[in-house]
Amino acid sequence: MAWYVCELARRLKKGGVDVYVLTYAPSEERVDVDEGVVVKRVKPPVSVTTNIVVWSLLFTTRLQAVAANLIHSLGSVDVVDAHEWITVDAALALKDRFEIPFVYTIHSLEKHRSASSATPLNIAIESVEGLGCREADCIVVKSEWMKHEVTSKVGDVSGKIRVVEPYTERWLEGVLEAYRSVSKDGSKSSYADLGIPT
Amino acid sequence: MALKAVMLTWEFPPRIVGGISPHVYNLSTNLVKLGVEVHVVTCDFPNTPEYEVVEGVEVHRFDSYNLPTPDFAAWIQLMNLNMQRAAARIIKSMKGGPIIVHAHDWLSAKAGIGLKHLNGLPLVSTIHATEYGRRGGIFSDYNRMIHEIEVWLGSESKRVICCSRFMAEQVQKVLGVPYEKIRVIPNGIDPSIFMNLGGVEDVRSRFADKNERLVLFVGRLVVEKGVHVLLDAIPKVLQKVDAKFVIAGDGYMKSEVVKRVAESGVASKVHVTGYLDTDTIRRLFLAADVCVIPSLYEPFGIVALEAMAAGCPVVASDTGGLSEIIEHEKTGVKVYPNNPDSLAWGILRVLESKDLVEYLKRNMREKVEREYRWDNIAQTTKSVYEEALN
Repeated sequence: MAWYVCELARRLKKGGVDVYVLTYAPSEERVDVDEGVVVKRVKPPVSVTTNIVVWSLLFTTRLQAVAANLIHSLGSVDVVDAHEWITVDAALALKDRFEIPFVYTIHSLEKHRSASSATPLNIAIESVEGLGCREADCIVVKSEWMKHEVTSKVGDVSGKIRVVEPYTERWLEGVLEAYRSVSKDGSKSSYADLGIPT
Repeated sequence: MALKAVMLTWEFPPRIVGGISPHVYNLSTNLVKLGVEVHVVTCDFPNTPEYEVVEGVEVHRFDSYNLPTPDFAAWIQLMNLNMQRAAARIIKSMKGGPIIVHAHDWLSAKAGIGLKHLNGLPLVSTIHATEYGRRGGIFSDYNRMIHEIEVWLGSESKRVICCSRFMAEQVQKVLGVPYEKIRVIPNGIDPSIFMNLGGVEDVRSRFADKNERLVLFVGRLVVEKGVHVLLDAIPKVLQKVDAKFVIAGDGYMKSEVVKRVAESGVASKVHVTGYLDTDTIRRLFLAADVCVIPSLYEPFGIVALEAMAAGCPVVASDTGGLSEIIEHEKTGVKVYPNNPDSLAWGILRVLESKDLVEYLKRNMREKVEREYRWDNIAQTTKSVYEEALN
């Protein structure tokens, strides 16, 4: 997923899209610029959690905060592309608050990663995957097979799934089409609508 | 424009898990009387509506189990995801501020912090207890996770409300919250809940004969509440006074308590009742000769306040918030924590001195009326909101 997002972000930037990647910082928070892509590395608010679900949901709260600051400084953002269930919570919060369309890119499903396992954590992750699929404005998968897997797992969301094969000539255009299919003229990104001075 | 408060709590009546539920109920209903527009965002509960107005408080219940998992820690954070979404919709529907987000305990930290950043709103938190205090330290990854969430909540909050000076010190030292951000506001009590309650004699006769004194313990049966200290003190009291002991409450120590009582040789003098409904508990406060609070850790000690409001003399450990509520031999009797001899002494001190009991009753009623009225507590809380907005 790291290389996928890295390569996609570079291609989008070359294609004229301003791209901001918000991702995990293993140590201190910092901002890098990689071939024109702004990469904000965000530190989780706690150092210890008992499982990955708790970790992701605390991490995404911090992601939300950094994203909100970015959106306020930019004025508006056209689309949020959330990669995997781990970032669904942040994308949803941004959609709820700023009305920014949310694209959910699914790289794999929990049922594939943990086949025939039904621990409390598998159940939790599957429920977040389901939430992401229901709430996303568009879902991007890499193959027809994965499209079938998603619909068989979470119900009929096939109408908003786009199959975009990565690392091909059509990759960039396919992702841009997904973004364009959901983007509006800009998001409500000001505190002003709450009557709060900025 | 009216001040608006969005209160985040995982429990609100009729969902009652612990002390946060009645606290938020009393605080929110009294804030409304002061002109604050209060929205409580809380978990759903069987046979309760998704939205209702309770004494002026707008209560919004969200589906807290639509992202199921049997893992409690994960469920708490998934519940927060839903809580934040529900609160975000409410905030969005508000036309203009000023708006305060008020989070109760680490259980709603994620939602509170998320709403703060997304909406640019001031966050006030009430830290009812700390993981460090509940466990007597941080011993596992699970403890540390909750502890770090509490640290995070403290650092993100514009103001942190604690229920006692003891808690304020702990929040400062253990969570690292600057003292300037901390405000001490006690829990409250409404003494009128004990007025005109019939059936007190019936409840008394259920548990004790006429010639027996009635000693009451109300609390969760967990180590921090010190019920084991009471079990050790009971035979010492019975050597001098004929009494019945009622141990009311539930908890992971219940089977151990029942076993120890059965093996103690005084089983006929002790009732381990398990959970009792609120009305029965209130009648017990009115019926009992003394209420015993042998806690090892107590951020506040709401049971002491309830007993005092009912006119039931209190014998309590000299620890935590109890130390602040009870003035020794003026509004109650303090004993050494985790010391059965001292606890037995305190119980006998009350049971054997009618003059002291009359003196305590006068003073404790006056103190409750003076310091623990919910309208005063709501007024102070409103002032904290105004500070946070400025």
